[in-house]
Amino acid sequence: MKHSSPILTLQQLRLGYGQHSAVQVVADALQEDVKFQEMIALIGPNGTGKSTLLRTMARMQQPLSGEIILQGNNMAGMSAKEIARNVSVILTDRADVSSIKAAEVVAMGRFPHTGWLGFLSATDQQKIDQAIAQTHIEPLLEKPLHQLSDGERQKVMIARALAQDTPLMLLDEPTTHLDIANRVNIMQLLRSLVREAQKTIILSTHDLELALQVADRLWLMHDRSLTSGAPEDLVLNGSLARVMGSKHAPFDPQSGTFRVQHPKHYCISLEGSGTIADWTRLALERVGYQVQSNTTTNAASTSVIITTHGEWQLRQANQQHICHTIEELLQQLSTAIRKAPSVPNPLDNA
Amino acid sequence: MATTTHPLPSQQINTKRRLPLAAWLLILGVGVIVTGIADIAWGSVPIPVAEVFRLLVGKKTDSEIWSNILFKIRIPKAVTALLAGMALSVSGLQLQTLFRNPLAGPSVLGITAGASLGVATVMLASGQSATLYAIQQSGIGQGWLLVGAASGGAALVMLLILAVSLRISDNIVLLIIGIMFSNITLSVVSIWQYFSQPEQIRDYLLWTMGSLGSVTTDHLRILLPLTLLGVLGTFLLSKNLNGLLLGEQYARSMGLPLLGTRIGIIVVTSVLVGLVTGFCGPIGFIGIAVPHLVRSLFNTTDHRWLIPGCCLMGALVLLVCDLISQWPGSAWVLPINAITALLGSPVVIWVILRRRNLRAHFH
Repeated sequence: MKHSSPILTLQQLRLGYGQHSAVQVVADALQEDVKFQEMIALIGPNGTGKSTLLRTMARMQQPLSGEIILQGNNMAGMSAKEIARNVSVILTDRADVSSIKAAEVVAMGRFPHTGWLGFLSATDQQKIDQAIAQTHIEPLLEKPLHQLSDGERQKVMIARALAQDTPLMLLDEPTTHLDIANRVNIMQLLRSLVREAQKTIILSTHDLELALQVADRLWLMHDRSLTSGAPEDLVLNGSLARVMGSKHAPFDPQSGTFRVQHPKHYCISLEGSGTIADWTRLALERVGYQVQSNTTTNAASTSVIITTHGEWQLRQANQQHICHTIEELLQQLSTAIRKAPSVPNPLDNA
Repeated sequence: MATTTHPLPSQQINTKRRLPLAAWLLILGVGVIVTGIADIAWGSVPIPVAEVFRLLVGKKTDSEIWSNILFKIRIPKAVTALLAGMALSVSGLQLQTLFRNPLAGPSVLGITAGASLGVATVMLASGQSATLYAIQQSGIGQGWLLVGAASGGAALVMLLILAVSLRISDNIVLLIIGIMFSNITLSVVSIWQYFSQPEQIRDYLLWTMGSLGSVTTDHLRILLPLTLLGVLGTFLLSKNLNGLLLGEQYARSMGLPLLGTRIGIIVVTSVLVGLVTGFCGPIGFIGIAVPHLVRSLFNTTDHRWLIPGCCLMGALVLLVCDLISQWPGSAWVLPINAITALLGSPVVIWVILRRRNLRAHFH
């Protein structure tokens, strides 16, 4: 189902801590709409207020001023239970009681829906089973939380949020502590929930490369404000590079990644193509070479030619060397420099 | 399993897990009944179990003394043990969950200390006429004075804690403030003792050792309904107690009314602990240890199981302690406080060493 009106609207929202005289404003004048079935990645350097914004949107914290409109209702006038039926939250804190079983954690998601004593109705049970099926955590159910890996625990927490059956899900750094396979796995899971379970998801993350691939929109938090847009637009107009890049690791719009800047001391030319050439270039850059691709080699300069056999031919002055691994190539290069001071030493230029 | 309507994984788990829990409750229940009967049959004057049953079903017996001992002394004492065990265990369970601390118990909020202050006020300030003996023997008025003083002291500390809890949102800070209140109160009592007569101090010390025997049938008319009310209140809080398990932040995000829950827990535990301390003196250990025993035994974190478990286990443990304190044939009745710790501490150590999962409940 598609809705034309936004699920969540931030109106002149001012976030922060403290009261009266000692107010610390984290972000101000936030004005945003969140559409139904949208996945928004909240990006920003540490300390720009990503968690504060998420907590404020879940009403776990009061805004300093401004309003949050949830499905047409002002959040300030809603009860905790009403909000909990519309917004579920996954926090960075580890759940403290770890002897609790995964199945019990998922069932806890029904909290805002059950009666006085929390007994589960058939509907509750159905929602729980559905959440378990959507997150594929069937084998984990009987295990206590402390026996689960970080990735498994995160899935259980997502299942709990699903069982809470809210149109809006807020996740605070759901992929920290996870290895790359689990990070991708969690992001794909969240993406599939947007698509198949009609969820609207706002998540904060430092995983920019992944966020660029899965998010419909980025919220870029910086300097007490928020820039919103499609990931691609923010790449193209340079916002992302400006906010997230640094001198040491500028954002590379071509690859959508941050490249560590290595100081360049030497020049070398590289002949070859494909993955092998890409990785050779990265290796050479790491040890301080400025790499020029497929330029006409003059006899005097150093060059690496990738042969048809997948080997590296190192040409230096009038010497030639065949290397079988990149490690060997780098080794060869470093000894050659030390042995032959006649070769113009790039360190002199530095 | 074949009869479950939802052949889905979580449903199967529920059925698989809950059967043994119900069985455990049954075993504990039977244990309470057996120990209860043993407790009223044995003592310095043993009464044959057959006679106990005859008396219980209302038949006449040969000995008027047995009847008197049974109805005037032992049954009130056993019922008191039952109620006190329930009240203290359930309070300990709630406070451990609220403060997420395995060492929390009924004494942490300073409620026990408040009761002590009340009792000290009566005993140490009222001169010779109000010694413990006099208070206990001089009929309803004086007996109620002691109970009223203890409950009043507990209520005073409870109001202070409530006032603090409205302002402080951090439960750990609240825990520390409770412990400090407790220390302040107890040091006031110490100073008072320092300036009191030896006989008065002796009476006060006797009170601090705890006694299940000073509760009369009249007292039970108050203790019984209020304790049951408190336990019922705890049970009504069980959903919110479960909600606190993932931490306050998650609880808040799931719509749990944190302040209301906290006030509910403080009021219920204060009433339960204040009552028991008022009637029986500060009985230690049960409130900390029994919840751990039940958690280990039941292997669940669901308070809807833990609360009845704690009720039965607490009653059972205190009845056993009472049985030991009035060791059959011996003329002495040892202070109940000494027995609870002497018997219970090794049990808790054993459970912790065997299970090694005590910390897992809290971290």
